[in-house]
Amino acid sequence: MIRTVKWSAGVPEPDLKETLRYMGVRGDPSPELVSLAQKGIEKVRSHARCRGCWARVPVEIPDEDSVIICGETVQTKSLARHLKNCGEAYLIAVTAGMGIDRLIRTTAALSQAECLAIDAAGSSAVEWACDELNRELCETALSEGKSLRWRFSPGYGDFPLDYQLSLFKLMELGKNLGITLNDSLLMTPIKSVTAVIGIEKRQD
Amino acid sequence: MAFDINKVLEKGPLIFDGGMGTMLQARGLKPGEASEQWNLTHPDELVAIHTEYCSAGSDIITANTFGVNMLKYDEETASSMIAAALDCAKKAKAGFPDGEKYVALDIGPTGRLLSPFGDLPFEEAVEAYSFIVKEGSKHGADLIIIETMNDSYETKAAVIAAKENCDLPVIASNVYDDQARLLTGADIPAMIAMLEGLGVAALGMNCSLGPDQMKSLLPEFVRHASVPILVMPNAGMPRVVDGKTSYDVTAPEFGKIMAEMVSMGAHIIGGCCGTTPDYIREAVKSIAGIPLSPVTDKNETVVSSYTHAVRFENVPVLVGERINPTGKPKLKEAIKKGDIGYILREGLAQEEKGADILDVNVGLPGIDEAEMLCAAVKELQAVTGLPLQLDTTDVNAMEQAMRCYNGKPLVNSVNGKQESMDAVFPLVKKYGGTLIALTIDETGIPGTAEGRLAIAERIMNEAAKHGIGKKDIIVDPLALTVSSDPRNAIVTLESLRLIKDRLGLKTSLGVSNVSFGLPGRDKLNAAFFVAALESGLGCAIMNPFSADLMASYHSWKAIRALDTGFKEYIAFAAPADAEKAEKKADQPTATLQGAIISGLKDEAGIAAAKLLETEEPLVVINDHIIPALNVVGKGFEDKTIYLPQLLMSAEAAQSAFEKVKAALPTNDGEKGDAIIIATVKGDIHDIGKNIVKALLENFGFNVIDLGRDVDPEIVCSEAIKRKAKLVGLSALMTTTVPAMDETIRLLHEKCPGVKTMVGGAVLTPEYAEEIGADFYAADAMESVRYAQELFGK
Repeated sequence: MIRTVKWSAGVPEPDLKETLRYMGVRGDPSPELVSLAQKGIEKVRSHARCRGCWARVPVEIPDEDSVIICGETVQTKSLARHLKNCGEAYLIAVTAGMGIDRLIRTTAALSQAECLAIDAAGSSAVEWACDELNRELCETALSEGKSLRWRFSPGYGDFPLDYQLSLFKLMELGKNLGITLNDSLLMTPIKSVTAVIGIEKRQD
Repeated sequence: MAFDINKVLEKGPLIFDGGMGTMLQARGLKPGEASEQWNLTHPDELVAIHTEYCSAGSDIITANTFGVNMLKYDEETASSMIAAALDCAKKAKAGFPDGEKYVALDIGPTGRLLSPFGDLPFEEAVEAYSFIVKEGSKHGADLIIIETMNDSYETKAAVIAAKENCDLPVIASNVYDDQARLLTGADIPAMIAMLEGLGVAALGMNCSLGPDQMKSLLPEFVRHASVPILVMPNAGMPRVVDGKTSYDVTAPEFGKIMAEMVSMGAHIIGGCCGTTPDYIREAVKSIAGIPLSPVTDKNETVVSSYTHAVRFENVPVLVGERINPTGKPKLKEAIKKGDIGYILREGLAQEEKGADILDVNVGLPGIDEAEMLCAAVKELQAVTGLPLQLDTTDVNAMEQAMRCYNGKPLVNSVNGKQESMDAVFPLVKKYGGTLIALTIDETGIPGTAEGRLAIAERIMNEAAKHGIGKKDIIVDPLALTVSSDPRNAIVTLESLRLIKDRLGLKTSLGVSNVSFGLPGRDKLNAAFFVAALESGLGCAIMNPFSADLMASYHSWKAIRALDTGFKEYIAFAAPADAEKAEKKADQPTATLQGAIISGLKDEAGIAAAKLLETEEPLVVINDHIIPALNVVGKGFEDKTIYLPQLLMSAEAAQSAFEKVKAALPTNDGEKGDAIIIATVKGDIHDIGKNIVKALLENFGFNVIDLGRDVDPEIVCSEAIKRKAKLVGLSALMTTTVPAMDETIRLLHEKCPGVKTMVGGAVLTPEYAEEIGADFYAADAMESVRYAQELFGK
């Protein structure tokens, strides 16, 4: 039986530089841009609550074109390459919560510049939460003499976005996190991430 | 024998069963496998599980229909699964004496999020649930439990479906987090207000939390609920020991806490994930002998939104009156144009000023009021958590809006005319709502307080016949202008007192009518407001922008000891003092062009106002605003400034435009050719589209925004209706680009003259060409340039 573990990280710490980058700013930002980004971060911090869940599942790489995750065969070269030498993987899902969706809607009625900053800070918030969870899982893996691969999400390379459906079913994301998928396989809350993280046995 | 919750509760607490998934997994259900399939493949296992629960002491067993989802199964499959599930439960029930066990049809979430935040339309959710209800009641369910619901709006859809398609009692149970909120935001009082309004037989919580955590949420239910309360916790949190999953609360511990919850006021108990017949057996054992708390009417006059409830208690409630086209030409124009954005800004501004509830009235001749009111309600609820007052004389519009409203609305209004009461009371009974009742009847408005009291009493008695209690009626004894009769205000004030004292009803007034026809109206309104508050006024429909009215309100609360520590008074009064001090500084520190280029919103407004003292409005636009915008646009194209700066400048220009518009005669009827923009079907990312809209409007184009996730048919019909020359489409994801292709194909077919421009993260010029778009805009400025070229501007 697959066990889905809930996880909570609370108020996120979006990164200023990353937020500016998501806002499309390159190079040295003007003071106005910095204060706009900071405003976005501040609002995101007051509206986001980061939560997630994870499950540890068996994976097999039968050939170069496919991966078997938890008994289900998925056609994907890029994930097969990514999970090479892994016998297990973490499935993770992380969300910054509906508060951000609402905040974006409210701000969209008032200021597009602020909306852009909030959207960017929201992305940085969910990235932060992923990193936090990643760090915790990494510690567990290290204690077992294993290491983790980088996060690989449905839609990367040729890893089909359709895999979202399996992931949602396996981890009961609707019930556990309140994340839903629409017909186009997009997630709500909008600032949500799902991914597969390979667990590799250290070769030493 | 029909199942009557209150009758069954006379015998003691009602016991549901425990987890189903847990039991099925122990019998070999695989991860990811749909448990409802087992209804058809393993019926014997289900009968065995149900029987085990019955033997453990469950009074109600839940048929295994939780996962039967009409968005996943066709009707035939669903129907056979529901029939099989109920058969299994009934077989188990038949093994016990008649009338001892009951079978519940189990309804769970669709797994999709409802619009406006998701893409499932409310009525589709109602339809999906209706099928399950019809099949379940056909196959012999005794009651319905709607459970594990994360979202208030979806809960409402399910309850309406249940109520419309059967007469079985409905229990609704939601999933709360440790902050006592649903994932989509509602708190416990908000859910109680909405669900009791919809007429559920019982309500409560299940899943997600263990018994200890639920115990800490229970008092909030006990405080506010007027119907029986259900608690069905998980067996604590899952943990793994030696590779096996178990939960951290044991059956005896579970039983002990369930007994505590019954003593605290829970009426119906059961278990969710991880609980087994052992847990139920322990609970039954521990609660033996504990007397059940009586179910009492809390008599709260309350409305709610999808986040919170607003109660009408000692502190008067403020209803912001600004979203009402009477005497507001700009709002009229916005409603006619379908410019929801204007309505949203009007709502948000009132919220900021301190309104507790927003009145929504969009009644204008020549528009489809039901459609417009629903659109305004849905969009407002996407941006604000304030409850709404649905204000209309059109009964169809009232019903549609009450139906699609996420929460329990304030409804304005019913009056003493038989026709009005016959039309409105059934709606309130069905959908839930608190009514504003006007003291006017077939003979008009009585000239005496006693006359108004008599109408209020008649409305109250007539409502009771429909099962609507006093708590859901707020009487508005009507403020008439003192300029027509100086005694008018006195009669109104006397009426307030009488209605409150004699009938025990809450009261409301539109306070500003009193000064009609007189100068300096706010001063008079403010005095009348204080007098009305002294006479017991419970709710005021007023303008939160009126400094005089707000001053009266906050000052009155302060002197009546309703403002602990003068917090609200200080928050209101201190900034006003500071503003006065700053008033002198309201001189421009930058030129208008400089302010726009630097993206300084307030500065741009001040500079524009200053310029307008000496320049014609059109000169301000053509010689100052447009050149500044061009500088910024050019900078963006040359990559010397970034998108957020472009937007900040656009907003600064907008603030200057507002001042210019105010100076222009109110004749902006002729807006020129329309540009329609939309995010395509299936796509919910609309930030890019909103940016394009803001810039196009900035450069003077008449933009009609259809929103996000827009059906191709709607894009076409609007393009035809609005005689659009250009349609802009946005899609962000590879999965939604095909919808863009389809929209363009349909546009070419149905409106051949219309040009199309497209944009979005995954689009390329090549792909745009392939799907037949006339123009690919790499960014917002390119769309402006293309529009300028097309419209010859």
